[in-house]
Amino acid sequence: MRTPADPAEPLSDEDLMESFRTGDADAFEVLVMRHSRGLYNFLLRSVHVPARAEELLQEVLLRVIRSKERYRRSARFTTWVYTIARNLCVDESRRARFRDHESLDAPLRGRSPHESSSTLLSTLSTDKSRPDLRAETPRLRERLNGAVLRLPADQREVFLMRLMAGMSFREIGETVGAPENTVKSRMRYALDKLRDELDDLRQVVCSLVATEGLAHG
Amino acid sequence: MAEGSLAPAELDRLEDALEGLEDDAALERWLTVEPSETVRERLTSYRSILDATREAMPIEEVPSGVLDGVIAEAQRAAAVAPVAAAAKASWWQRMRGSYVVPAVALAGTAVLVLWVGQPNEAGVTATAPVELAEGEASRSRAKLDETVDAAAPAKEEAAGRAAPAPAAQAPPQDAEGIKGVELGATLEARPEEDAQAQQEVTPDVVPEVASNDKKMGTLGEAPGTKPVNADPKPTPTTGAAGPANGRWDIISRGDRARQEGDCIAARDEYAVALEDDDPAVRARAFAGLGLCDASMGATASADGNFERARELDGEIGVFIDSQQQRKPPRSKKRSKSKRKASRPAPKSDTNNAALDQLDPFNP
Repeated sequence: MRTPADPAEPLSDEDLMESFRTGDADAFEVLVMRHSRGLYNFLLRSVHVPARAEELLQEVLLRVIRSKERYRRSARFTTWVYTIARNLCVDESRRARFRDHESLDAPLRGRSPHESSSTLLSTLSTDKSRPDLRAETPRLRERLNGAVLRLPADQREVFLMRLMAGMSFREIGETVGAPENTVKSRMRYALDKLRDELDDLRQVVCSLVATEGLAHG
Repeated sequence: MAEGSLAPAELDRLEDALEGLEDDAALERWLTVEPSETVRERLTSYRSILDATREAMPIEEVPSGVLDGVIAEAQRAAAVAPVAAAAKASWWQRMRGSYVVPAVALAGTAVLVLWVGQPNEAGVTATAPVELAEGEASRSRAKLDETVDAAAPAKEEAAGRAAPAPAAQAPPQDAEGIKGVELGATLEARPEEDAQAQQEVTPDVVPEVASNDKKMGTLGEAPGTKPVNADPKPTPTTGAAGPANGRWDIISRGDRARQEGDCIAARDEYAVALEDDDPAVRARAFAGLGLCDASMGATASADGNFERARELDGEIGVFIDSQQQRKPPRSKKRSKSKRKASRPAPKSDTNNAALDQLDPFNP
């Protein structure tokens, strides 16, 4: 394995990838350890199905292995691998539209025709009448998940890459193919929508944050 | 719905602050320097949302066993990679190991040599005009040589005539014959002047020269090549034109020049006539020289020339007297321009015209 100039300094993702190209399997394992969790959570929050997220994670890494000869140091590894993951998510969402199973936007079955049609998505917690903090935590979680799901695709992917992968706005821009300022605007739009969705729970949210801060303080 | 609307500048500051939104120190700085209350409130709410979202969407760990197959695949790929890399030489390495590079280098060198060493078409075409010019020059020289040589055959003829002539000649000539030989030698020693003169002459003059040589066939002949003419008088073939003899043309030109006042040209003509072996011609030449001297006031020299003329020709005195009675024309500088033989006679008074008529040799 290629050693850095400073032993204490870890090798960069690009160096590890270069080592893997020359036959160092351990370098690839280091890369997997660094990025598999972020990739998995990004895929999980995008497709919402853990089993599918696992399959997509394997597919992403296998594509990295098969494409290691074409990798060039000029491209950042995170940009490259999350571009593969994003493309798989887009393909997955397209397949999900034609898949014969309930989607979040599909009308619920088993309801009487007299009742107003509703979607699985709409049943996610939007109830604004439960001010109890501890009781709201599960509902808060559901509402946030729902709010994130209801974000437009371009805003959601930016939000998730920022939150799950910890990528900078520049890296996100390189991944999605948009300028950095555009990525920042999408992030602001996403936060504004989430803010609006959780407006009634603002007090709860602030309290929850303060509680967590005291707990970790 | 967002509370209040933000100005574009506020939106820009708000978006710039998103980069460090989850960094407590960076957020604190933004909130300290941000002048807008709305922006500060928005940043605070954004931070809350992100924190709540992290709580609601915690980072899940990858289930165990999911990546085992991937790691195994990576190990298999890594094991194959060094062998493939060794087997698969780079494009440049393969090129270096083959004969392509030397062949390309050799071909390029050959092309370069051919391109550099190719006969320059411009040079070829550039030399053509030179060659043409040289050809022209050679042809012109040939023409000149022909012109010059036009007289040479005549001279050769004269020499040829001179060759057998000595066998048929009478006893050796007197001093006139020797002078004739000297004249011939002198003429032959003046090839440059002849050539130059003949270059200037027109073709129609060449025959004249040849005819002159023919007429003056005795020029250059060895002594005794021609029977001495007891009667030195020229036989006029025409009336006032005088004898049809080239040497008399010289006398005529000399007389004309003298009558026009150009004694320098006249002297030149008379000097040539003095080389003639005909005493009548020489007498006339001496007479002309004497008349030139007399016109210039050189009486003694004139008398001497007149005496020599009378020695050669006893009847030359008539001519001398007639010429001396002519009105002396204005002296003119020698002109280099050609004088036409058919130049009209200068307008003179009746007296000169009458005197001219007494000169049988005045054309």
